[in-house]
Amino acid sequence: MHNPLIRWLGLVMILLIAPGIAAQDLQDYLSRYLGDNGKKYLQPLGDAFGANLNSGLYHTAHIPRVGLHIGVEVIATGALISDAQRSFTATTEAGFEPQTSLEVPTVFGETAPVAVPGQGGTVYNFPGGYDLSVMPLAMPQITIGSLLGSEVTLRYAALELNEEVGDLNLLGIGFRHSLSQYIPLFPVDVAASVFYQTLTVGDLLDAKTRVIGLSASRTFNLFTLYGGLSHENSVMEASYEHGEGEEAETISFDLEGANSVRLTLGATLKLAIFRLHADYSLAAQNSACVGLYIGL
Amino acid sequence: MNKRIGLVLLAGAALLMSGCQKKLFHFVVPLNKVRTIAIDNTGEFAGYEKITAREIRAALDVPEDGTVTGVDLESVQIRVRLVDGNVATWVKLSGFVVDKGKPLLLFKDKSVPISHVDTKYIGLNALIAEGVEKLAGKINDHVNKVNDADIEIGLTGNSDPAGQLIKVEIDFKINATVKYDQCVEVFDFFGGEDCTE
Repeated sequence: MHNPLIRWLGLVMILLIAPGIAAQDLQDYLSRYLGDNGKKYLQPLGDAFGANLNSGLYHTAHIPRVGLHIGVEVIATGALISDAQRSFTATTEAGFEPQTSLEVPTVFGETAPVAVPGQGGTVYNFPGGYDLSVMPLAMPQITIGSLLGSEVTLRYAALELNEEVGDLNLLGIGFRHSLSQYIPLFPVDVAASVFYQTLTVGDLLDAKTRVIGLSASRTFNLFTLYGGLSHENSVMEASYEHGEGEEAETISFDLEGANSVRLTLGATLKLAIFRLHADYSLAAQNSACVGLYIGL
Repeated sequence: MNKRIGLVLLAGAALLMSGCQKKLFHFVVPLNKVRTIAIDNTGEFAGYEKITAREIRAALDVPEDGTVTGVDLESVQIRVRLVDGNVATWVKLSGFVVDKGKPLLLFKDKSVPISHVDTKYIGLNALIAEGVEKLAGKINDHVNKVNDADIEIGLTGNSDPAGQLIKVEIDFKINATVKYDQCVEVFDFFGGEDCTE
């Protein structure tokens, strides 16, 4: 494999979307792209990735003032890919004549490549995408509380991939604090929260997300309705060498997630030690989430 | 919105159940080759270089179960680098691919300034279709192991104005793309075409 950018995308896709796919197979999609085209091709992935990582961080705003509670959880979240995220305006790279701009698939677009006829029988080929309507992601997390109406949530995963790629490390930590404990007889539970997450994969991928927000919930027997408003950001750094030998050059860019403000609405069903929850988040990058919490 | 939430639930379920199927993907990979022709001559010159099938296939990144569907020539670029002792300020170049012992033009009489040791590639906007088609065909033959005969490319030219001492190195870059199809096992929620293999 002579293009680390190809490796980079393949790796991300494998980890986040398609664990069953061999790296080299999917990586080739990106091998045609440099600079601005590459960033636009991947931007929807950065948006979806950030939205997914920042999902599933809570399923109630109720945090007891004291008393041990601990729970493990599996979160399955999905960023919903809009039509606008499936194509972008690309421009043929230097050398191809005449320079041509047209709509081509993003990483989430149609699988068919787009061929542009050029001067003298030349042809420029833009790659296709993966034809995805939803980008899913699954993550484990654990929540421990309560002390003075506060709890901590941790996300962690570490995998040894291979020598070429390096190791995967996901680390997330969140802190939530009950605000409604200070207001006697307040009709709903309210909590403030802050979360920070990092995902690194060798030297290929370095992603960070941050969320601060307020959440509220009210419980009716087995059901809890919850919602929240948060401010978030995310960034994925892509850095790679393009070309071979003397022609090699380093290309680097950040993919900043589209989301800044997120409104979440959801419900939790509690059955003994199990809590099944689902929510939907309205934001620049919409997403939905389901989770299964097991704990006391 | 209900439909979208349903989609996400389905995606989550798909992840948890790891349901997979084979889908057909169309890949496009670049195949670039550079040959450097050194010129140290007064007046007309000619230089040749060869590209072997082994080189082409070594640079190719197609998996064993991929099916090559075509090779396109995207562009031809040249870069003229100044060497000490050069006198000429411009050079007029023609490029060709050798077919059945005869040169078939890729471009003709392209004037290029000789000004720097380190210079950028320039694109050629007057490529000749017959030569382009032949070169793409020869690369395709290498990729598909149809004909492993070396690809011979070359440059002819003269200083502009003619008759001056030319001491340069000319990089002749061929940018091609190879298209191939491959059936890949993906989760059920992937779109695209079903595999028939």
